[in-house]
Amino acid sequence: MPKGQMPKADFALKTSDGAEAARLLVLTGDWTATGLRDVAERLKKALTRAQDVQVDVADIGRFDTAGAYALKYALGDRASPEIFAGHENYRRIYELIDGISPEVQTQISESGRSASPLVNFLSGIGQKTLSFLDDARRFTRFLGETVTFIFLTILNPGRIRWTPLVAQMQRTGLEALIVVGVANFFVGAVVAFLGILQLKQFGVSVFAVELIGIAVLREFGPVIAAVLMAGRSASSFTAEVGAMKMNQEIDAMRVMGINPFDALVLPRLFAMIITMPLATFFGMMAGLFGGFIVVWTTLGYGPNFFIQRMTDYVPFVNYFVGLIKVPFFAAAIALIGCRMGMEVKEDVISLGKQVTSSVVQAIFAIITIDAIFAIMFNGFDF
Amino acid sequence: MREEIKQDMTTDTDYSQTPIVVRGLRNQFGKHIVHDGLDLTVSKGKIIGVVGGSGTGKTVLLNAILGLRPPTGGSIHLFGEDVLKLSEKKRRPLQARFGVLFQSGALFSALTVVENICVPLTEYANLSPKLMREIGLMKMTLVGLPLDAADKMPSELSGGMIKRTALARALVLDPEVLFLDEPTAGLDPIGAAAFDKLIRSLSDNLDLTVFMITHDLDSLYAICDEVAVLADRKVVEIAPPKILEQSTHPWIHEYFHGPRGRNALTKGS
Repeated sequence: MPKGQMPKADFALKTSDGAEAARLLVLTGDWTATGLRDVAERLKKALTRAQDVQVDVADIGRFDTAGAYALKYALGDRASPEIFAGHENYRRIYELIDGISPEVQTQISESGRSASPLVNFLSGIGQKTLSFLDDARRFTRFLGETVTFIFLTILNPGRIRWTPLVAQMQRTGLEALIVVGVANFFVGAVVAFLGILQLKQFGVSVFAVELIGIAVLREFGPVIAAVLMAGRSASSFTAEVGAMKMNQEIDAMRVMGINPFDALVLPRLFAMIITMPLATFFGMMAGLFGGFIVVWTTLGYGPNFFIQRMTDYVPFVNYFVGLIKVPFFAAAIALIGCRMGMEVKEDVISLGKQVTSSVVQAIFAIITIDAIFAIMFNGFDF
Repeated sequence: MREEIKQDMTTDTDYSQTPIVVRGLRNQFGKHIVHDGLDLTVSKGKIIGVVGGSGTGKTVLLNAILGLRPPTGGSIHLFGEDVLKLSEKKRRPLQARFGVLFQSGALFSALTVVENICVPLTEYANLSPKLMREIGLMKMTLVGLPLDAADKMPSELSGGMIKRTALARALVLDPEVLFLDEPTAGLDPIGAAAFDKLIRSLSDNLDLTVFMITHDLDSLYAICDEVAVLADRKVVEIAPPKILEQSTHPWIHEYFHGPRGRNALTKGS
């Protein structure tokens, strides 16, 4: 094989002396997959009206099956393998391709026929509807199975698999503490800054303490923690369960008589329900601390004052209102994460899609649950 | 050791036509030495079978040759070029001359069969989509895949069809060297025999050099010109299977004269 730039496939058409219709086609360059580019189309166009073609391959460089197919594509039946007399290897390749190209052509012409756009549009709507109904059915089933297994576990606590439960608690709870704490610290500080700035106009900037207390305990602490958990845990649940499904590990469990619900879903669900309130409590404290630091540095009120005012003017019910929502957030995150994982199909793209939609759905669920609780507490006058 | 290799490479002039020359290869994982002083030459147009017990580093050798995992020491020349010293840019044209069939097929799960086959074409060739698809279909016919499988996803294929699709993808640029990692593993005996026959006929028709890792004794007898035996961290012997039968090396003797070996032997002769 010669070094350096290879000449690309090309051709030249010469009218051979005498005969009117017969033409001489001279092939040059490398007729290989990488050297072909648009030569097949050009040659086909140039030969549309030629009846009879003589082919000269003396100057051809390399030649492979793709080149042979391109030649066959352009020339059709106007060339026989005999043109490669003298190039034994090339002749063999051309013969091979000559033999199988009719089959390819039939397939091309068959698959060329497609339905009308209207039919495609309608069948698209039908398929979407069916898949939506199917999705709804499977979601209902998943929810039903979950509730059943939760009750079975409560009736018989021996079912609980302690090792995965504790491992999940560490991964979803303990290891999330830092990020939950730091995020809440900053949110608390920002609320304090804004509160002080606005309340100063009325000369009551000291009320910023109540603002921080109520906002962090009631809303920001739980919601910020839950959103972070949705990003952290829902995605990893989906990826873990999805990869296990792709690797047939879930099938292997079923065959061994291990229920995937017991082994995969429940430990994650219980781990989230147990650890998320604890992580949220930590987040609340970090948020209050962030607010306190701002109050201390900008208004000059020290720790004693801050704690005194918190206990006097921020009712304890706020803490309760904030924390009661958290197990619901936790359950939503764990169940959406696991369910999305179970729905992963056998290709990589669907894994990516499922992880994305698991995080999006989990955050959406958190906000919806939060809104429902807000309306309920409003009714109870809390 | 180094000097020896250099001399070997300089005195022998015609290595630019030899697909694979491995000299003094050393592979080590921590304290575990897999290869030490491994030499192997694969000449053009040959079908080489590589056999060896589990853990003798057949796949490690393949990965070293393909550049997937640089070896600890030694040299690897492909068509006379020292691949361990080659820049990324110079590697590319060389890679187009090799086709690889991985053990599990390694098809891209998000692409259809014909799209999988056309991946190297989209990377290396500048063809119209229509002609590209037709060349993909042509390759499918070449490896004996039914053309109505063209738009299926890899997850819908049987094991044999996955292997054939992966083979078509490995062959799409008409490589000069084909690497096969256990091509017949997981196929039924009839499918395996058909696959062997396919590789033999492709190799004859397209002038392929084949480097084949296998455990399948029937494959060895059916299609291999030479068999390289990996044992004791190196290639202990390389010879046609008929000659290897007479080897006195304990592992080779056991391999060819164990219950399965005898079976293939009687079939082969």
